[in-house]
Parts: sequence; C-alpha cells; structure tokens
Amino acid sequence: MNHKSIIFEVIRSMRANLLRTTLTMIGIVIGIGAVIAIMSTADSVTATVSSELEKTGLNKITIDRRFNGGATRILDDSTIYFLKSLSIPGIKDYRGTVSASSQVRDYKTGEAVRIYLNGATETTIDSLNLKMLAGRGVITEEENQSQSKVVLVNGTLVKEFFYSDPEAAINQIVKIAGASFKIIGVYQAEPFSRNANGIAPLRTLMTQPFESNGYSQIEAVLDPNADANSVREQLLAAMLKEGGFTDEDKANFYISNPRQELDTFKQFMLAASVIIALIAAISLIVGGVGVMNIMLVTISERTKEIGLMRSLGAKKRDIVKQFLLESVSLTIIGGIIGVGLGILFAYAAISIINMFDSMPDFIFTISLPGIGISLLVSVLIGLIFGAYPASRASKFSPVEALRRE
Amino acid sequence: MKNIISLKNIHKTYGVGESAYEALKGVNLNIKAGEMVAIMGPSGSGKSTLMNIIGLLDTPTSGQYVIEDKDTKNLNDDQMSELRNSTVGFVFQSFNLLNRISVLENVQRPMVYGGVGGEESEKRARVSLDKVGLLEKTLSFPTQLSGGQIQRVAIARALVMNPAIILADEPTGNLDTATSKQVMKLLCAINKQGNTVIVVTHSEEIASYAKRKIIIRDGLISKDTIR
Repeated sequence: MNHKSIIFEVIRSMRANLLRTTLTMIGIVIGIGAVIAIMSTADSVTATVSSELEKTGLNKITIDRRFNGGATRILDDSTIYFLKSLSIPGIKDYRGTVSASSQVRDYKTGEAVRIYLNGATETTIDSLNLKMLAGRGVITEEENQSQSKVVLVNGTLVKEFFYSDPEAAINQIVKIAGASFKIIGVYQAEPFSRNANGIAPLRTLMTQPFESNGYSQIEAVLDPNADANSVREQLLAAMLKEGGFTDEDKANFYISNPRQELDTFKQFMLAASVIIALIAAISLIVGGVGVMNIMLVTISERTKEIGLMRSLGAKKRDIVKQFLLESVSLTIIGGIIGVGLGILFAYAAISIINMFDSMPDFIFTISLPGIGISLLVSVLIGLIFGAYPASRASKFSPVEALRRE
Repeated sequence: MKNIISLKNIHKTYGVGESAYEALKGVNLNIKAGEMVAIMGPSGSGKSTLMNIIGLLDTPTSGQYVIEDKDTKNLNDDQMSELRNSTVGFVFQSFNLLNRISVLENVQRPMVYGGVGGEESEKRARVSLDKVGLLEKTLSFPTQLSGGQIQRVAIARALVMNPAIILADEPTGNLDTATSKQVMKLLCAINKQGNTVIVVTHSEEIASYAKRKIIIRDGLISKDTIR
C-alpha cells in the first residue's frame, strides 16, 4: 500500500470535518498539555533550585553540632586546626560560621520580630552575592575584629519596621538580643525566605549575648573537581575516631553533603512530577475513548467506502492501516497541540511565580524527555484505541458493505 | 478464444436451516476473453449474486470458479484481493467515487493497493483519463462533474490496472438516455481493445450493445443467446 497518498487524504478528511476533529482531539490535547505543563514546571523548579544551590555553595561540606544526649561538640579554631592536619585531598580550606536567632526590636515603636543572623567577614560576605537595596554590602576587617554592633538586614525586616523603604532604614538603631545595632545595609530578601534575616560581623556573633562557644558550623570548602561523597567519608571517619564514636548516628556532630542533598531533591522532584503527570494522564484514556468512539462513527458512516476499497483490491490489512493512520493522525496532532499548550501553560505559570519578589527568578525549562514521551504516548493511544474500530472495519463483507447507503 | 471465466455448477446459499435461501442453483457459464456479455434478469433472480462471485467479492457455497486459469477455491482473502485488483475493474450504478479526493486521486486509488506509486501512478491515471476523454478534469473534484462525467471517471478507474475483465453493474441506471449512450459506446470501445466486458442490466436497450445476452431466472441461466 502507498502510504503517502493515504496520509494526505487523511489530513484532508480531518480538515473537512474540522469541528468533529477538534472535539475529538480535545481530550488528547488536555491530557498531553497537562502532562507537559506539569513536567516543564517541575523541571523549571528543579533547575532553579539547583542553580540557587550552586550559587550559595555546592562546593562545600558542612559540619554541624548535634545533640546526642551527651556533651555538645565544640567547633572552634582548634577543630579547624585538627581538620587541617588531616590534609584530606579535595578540601581547599575550612572556615567557621556562626548563626544566631534572637528578638529584634524597633527602637522607637518597640515592635519586635525574630531575626536570624549569620556571621560574616570581609571575605565571606562577598561570596554571598547580596543584592543591595541600600547602604553597603561590606563588613570591614576592623568591624569584625572590634566586634562592632553593626548589621545588614534583608527586605523583610525593612517591610516590618520601615514601611518597605530601604533608604529610611540606613543608620537606624535596632535592638537585637537587648544590644543596640546600627543598620549599615539592606539587601534583597533571600529566595524562598519570608524570615527577617540579617548579617553581622562574625566575631560580634561569637560574643555575648550571642554564641560564645565557638562556631555554629564549620564549612569544608571543596575543590571544584573533588568527589564530595568520598571527601565526606574521610571527614566522617576522622571525626568519628577523634570523638571516640563508632556510629554516625550516635555522634554529637553531623556532616552534610549539599551535592547529595541536591541529588535527593532532584530525585524527589522527578518522582513527584511523574506521579502527578500519571494522574493527569488519566485524561488521556478519556481522550482515547473519544477517539475510539469517533472512529466507530467514521467506519459506520463510511461502510460503503470500505466496500468500494475492497472492490478496488484493498486487503483487510490495507483497511486496518487506513483507519489506524486516521486515528493515529488524530492523536498525534492532538499531542502536538497539547505539547504546545502545555509549554505555554508552564511558561505562564513560571511568569506568574516570577512576579513575586519573595521568590527567586525561576528559570523556564522545557522538559524534552517529557515531550518525547508525550508524543510516543499519543501514537500509542491512536494505535490502541484505533485498533478495535480498524479491525472491525476490515471484517466487513465487501458485498454487504457495498450495498450500504 | 480461450475461456477467461469458467463457472461449473455454482451454488450459493444464504443462511442456514429453515431460513436458508438458495440464490444460485447450479450455474454453468463460460465467458471467452474479449467477449461483451449482458446479464439480465428480474430482481431476486440471482444476477447480483452471480456478479459478486464473478467479481471475486463473494465466494460460492459449492461449485468451481476458474478465472484467468486460476481456481478460486484455494485462494485466501489476500489472494482474492490481489486478483480482484489486477483482473477485475468494477463500474457501479451509483458511481462510488470518493468526493473528498480529486478525479486523478480517485483514478489512482486501485494503484494504491496494487503497489504502483509515484510518477508511474500519475502517468497511468492520466492515460486512463485520456481514454475516457476527461484529461482536462484531472484536478476537479467529483462534485464538480456531471453524472455522465462521473461515470466516465469511474470507468477510467476500472481501467487503470489494465484488468482483463470490466464488470459493470447497471452502469447507466442513474443516467439519462443521452449520457447512457455515451457510456455504453465507451464500454464497447474498451471491449474492442480486448477487455472482456460484462454488463448487468435491466434494460433491453443497454443489453443490445452486447453480442451475447444471458438471462438468469430463479438462480439458473434460462437463456444464453449470441446474436
């Protein structure tokens, strides 16, 4: 059988019955569109989170204190000295960080919220890539050494205390944990965060009324090419031995691996999007039944034509092919339109999310595997739901079919 | 001349048991290559059944049917289709053109199933349309043609695989007298070029175009005359 002429004919017959064709395709369009929209949105979220994580440091492994019922692990300069002496390959440097949370009170109104503070030095503040709204994004070495009571705050706090006017906040005094701090800079709120956050000199946060017990965390800065998992294993083994622990779960510290966490997150997003997409795919079955229904109508309308085709020498399998081509054309065109609409929908969703300032700018991503699978599924639906009508058409007796009006 | 169609003791029964109905009751018929034959008979005489069997659209319940030296008894559905495609060209009372495709594509249709494609297919369709005098209507659609023109396109379609047998079932049944004459003259001309032409008709006038006239009555040949 010559397929090309049949395909042209199918397209023309679909155009001739435009309303019917459109209505039949709607189920497939919605099903495929939903799957693509979900997959693309999920891919966009994954890509955005990955890139945010990469910006803030995938190239580090962090050591945290953990309460295990015994004595708290002290993380201080002597810990860093010990870690450095291990000379674990793949680790460039160690640095201590301090974080604290406390009440912050507007000096004039007395209004209070909780603020989460991170310590920074002249060098580490650069790596935070702060987007400054007002004031300076710098903490000098002098401010650090002298434990100055200066603070950079984020947009959220400014919204609470200064009617969202960053300039108005500069040089104002706020009370943090009872001490008076001068605001020297305002930066844009972090992605995904609705907290009032701030950055103060590292040494300031290592004195009363804050943390006076060393660092809250030590970061091992990795070489870009280092194998994070193997580095983590070596760090863990050395620290377990030093602390006299046999088991990671019983230790009074915790070593995290952001790369591994990112992988876990990616796997979770994939699994979640696949499950939701599968639910959306139920509408594909509904669409398939619609295609089957219309194909049954078609063959009953065109019974005489089937008789004619047989009289002109068409074999049973030629009839099957003709009607399968018609049903597959319906579903694949529906699939292509669905892919287009799905991408548009995902784009619209991402654009809307990007209108909110508290969110990072999402990177719009088109899920290529999603598109491939969707088109394949479209073809399969056409084949599966077209099979019964096509086989029925091929079984008509030529004489009976020709007699039909 | 050699027999192109040979029917021996052909029976055709529809249904089973008490409701069984015997449409053909032992038909014996030989048609030679190049003959022009008219088959006549009242409604219910079995002439449609005979015509369907000759055209390989139906199979006899018993008896032997040999077409172009091939015994049809041992043919499966696909082989019957192939033989129909290559050996028999149908012309129907109701024309049976597909309105959604052009005249050219209608004529090309048998070649879609006969494995002739591309330029060869178009060339042959044009030759066929030229034979019926409708070369200028190649790109028209059936709905733009008159009844006579439509039937001539159908004849061009029947000719395109160059079949040995043209089977015309009431070819002028839906046409006026003048166009009927044109169509019958065309069938005669085709017959002169060597094709066997079998015309099933009610009309004495149409039958008179054929040299041989066969009358079927109650499932049997009651009269077979050559003038």
